[in-house]
Amino acid sequence: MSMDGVIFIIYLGILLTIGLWFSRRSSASTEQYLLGGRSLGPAVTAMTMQTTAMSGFMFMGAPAMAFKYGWYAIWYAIGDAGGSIINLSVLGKRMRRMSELLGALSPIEYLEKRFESPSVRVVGSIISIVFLFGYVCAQFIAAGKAMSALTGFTYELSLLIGISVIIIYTVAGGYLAVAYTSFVQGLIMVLGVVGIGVLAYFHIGGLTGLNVALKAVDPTYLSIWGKDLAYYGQWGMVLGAILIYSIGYMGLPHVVVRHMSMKSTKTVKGAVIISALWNQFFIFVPYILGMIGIILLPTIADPEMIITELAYTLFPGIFAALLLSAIMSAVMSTADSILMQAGSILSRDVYQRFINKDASPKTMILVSRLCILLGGVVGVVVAIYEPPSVFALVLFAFGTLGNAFLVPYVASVYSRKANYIGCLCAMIGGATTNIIWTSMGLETSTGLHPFLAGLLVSLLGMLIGSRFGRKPSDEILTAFEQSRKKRVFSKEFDRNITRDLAPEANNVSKFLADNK
Amino acid sequence: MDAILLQEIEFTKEEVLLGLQQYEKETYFQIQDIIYYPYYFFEYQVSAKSLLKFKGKAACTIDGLGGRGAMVDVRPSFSRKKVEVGRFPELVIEEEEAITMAERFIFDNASSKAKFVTMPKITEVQRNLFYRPFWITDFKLDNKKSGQLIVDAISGSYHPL
Repeated sequence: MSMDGVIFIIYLGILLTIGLWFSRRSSASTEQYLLGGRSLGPAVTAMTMQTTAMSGFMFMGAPAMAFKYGWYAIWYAIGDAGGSIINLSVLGKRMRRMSELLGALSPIEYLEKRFESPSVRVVGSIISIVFLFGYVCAQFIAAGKAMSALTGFTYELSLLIGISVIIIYTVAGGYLAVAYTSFVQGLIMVLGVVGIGVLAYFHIGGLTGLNVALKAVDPTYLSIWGKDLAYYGQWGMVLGAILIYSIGYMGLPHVVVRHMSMKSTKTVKGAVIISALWNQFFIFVPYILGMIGIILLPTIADPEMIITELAYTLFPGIFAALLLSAIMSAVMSTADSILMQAGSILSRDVYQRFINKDASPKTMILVSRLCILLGGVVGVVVAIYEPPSVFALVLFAFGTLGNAFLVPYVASVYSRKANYIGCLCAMIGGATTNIIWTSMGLETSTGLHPFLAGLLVSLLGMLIGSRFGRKPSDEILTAFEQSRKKRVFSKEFDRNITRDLAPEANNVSKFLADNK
Repeated sequence: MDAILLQEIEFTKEEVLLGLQQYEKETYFQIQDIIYYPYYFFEYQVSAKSLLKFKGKAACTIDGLGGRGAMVDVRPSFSRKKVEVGRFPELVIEEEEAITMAERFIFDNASSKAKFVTMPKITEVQRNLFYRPFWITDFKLDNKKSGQLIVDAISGSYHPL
């Protein structure tokens, strides 16, 4: 085994020790509860959130995209950076009010309650699972590549070793162990990638130097239409590139767990803000590194390995190996979390709901773990036999999500008439169009980005579908009207309202009304 | 009324008014009443087979009116008292129902957060019905609009009604 492989094993050993130490410490304390989550400070929370967001896509897909297209790839970064802002400002307020009124905990549960149909939840969950498995497969491919670079073994063997090692490590780790090891990993990755970014940036002479060098290779790299002006004048492609990430996030099936503070403590809102700000900065770095790769590594065989190659070029071997180890573990940790999520959706929303309503917790965990195992095996098989590029896979997954969910979300708060038939047509139509468009390569002949094509079909589906089936109930229409009401308080006061208290507020309102 | 288990008020009337006024200078606030909201508190010993040690306590509450679960961060301190002033909504969720809800809630949360391969062992170590105080606060905006808020007397957080 190469020296880098040894470093990787030592690295994993250190992570396990850190995990073990914190696990022992946590069980000794009775004042703080294990799953309550308050014992982690804002810095650890922020870094943990960041590590989860850092996936194989960021380290491999994004630079490869920039390597292929030049500055055109930045459209994707803009969409990614603006995604959370669009979510919060455009849809955020109305959707937040509406989901409070409906008492929904996750975006998909929200759609089910707004459109009053369990089939909406099932279709939404299935589409989410397609996305989750696509995404997890991308992580596997990224992990296999990173492991192969570390050990010198073949890609297939590296993939199997990497997955085994990391699944043992993450599945075996408790909550605090994972959180604290994520913190250490996050720190190494952030320092490493920023280090590579800074060194490469000055090495090439800043943005001006980069642009001059790119122009010398091929002036079309500087164009916003892509290398060789591949998408010249095709605003449909540009719009699709920007929208895909802005909207895709809305379909993520995460569930918000409510916390209750037992003492008057300050909230950890800071962590969310730190993480969001850091994201805005971090999103652009891999793309810029991809373009630097065009100049510094013009003959690289696999553009997805640009960051790795740059690390070995610019840093001493030991640091490069350390960075790669951190990337590898983070990638696998993300993959593992996604598999866990997919497993619980399948067991809760599909198995318990339709197959075995009285399933015991023991059966549920068994079904969930079997789904994970199956998903993992399928992922490994795809990653070995038909490995698509990380970027293409992530793009496809986000496209499917965005096309399925954008129109239903917008319609849920902007259209009174939108009903469950419209929602189902929009979700199925949008996602299917994206899949067909991508698999048949229709974007070149039509000049329309798969995402935009999916969006148009989804919109038509909502407009036509909502003419059929039962109309939204009075309860939904009342919630709809209430969510449109303007804010009565100042911005600052409104921002500090504790949304978690919405159920209590509703119950107190009812109690006061009944006891007037 | 008999003595009940409750959390002691940490944010007094004056502190609440001061806090609200800090953000909304033009709005007139007035504390109208106090309401004691019922919750069930459950504490569990959670342990799971795992390479790293996973053993410790976890706790949650179940809303006595709506049945919604919430994870609890630190061990709470309750006191048993007779309360003379305040209103008490009638309990909607029965204890038996709350036990099932709490077990499911803590189990779901533990299995999604802690990533163990086998089923975690969850043993109840404490169960209480307790009351948490909320201030009912009237407000009148400078455009003459008015309404009410609830303010949590333990954490100081608030939500309009």
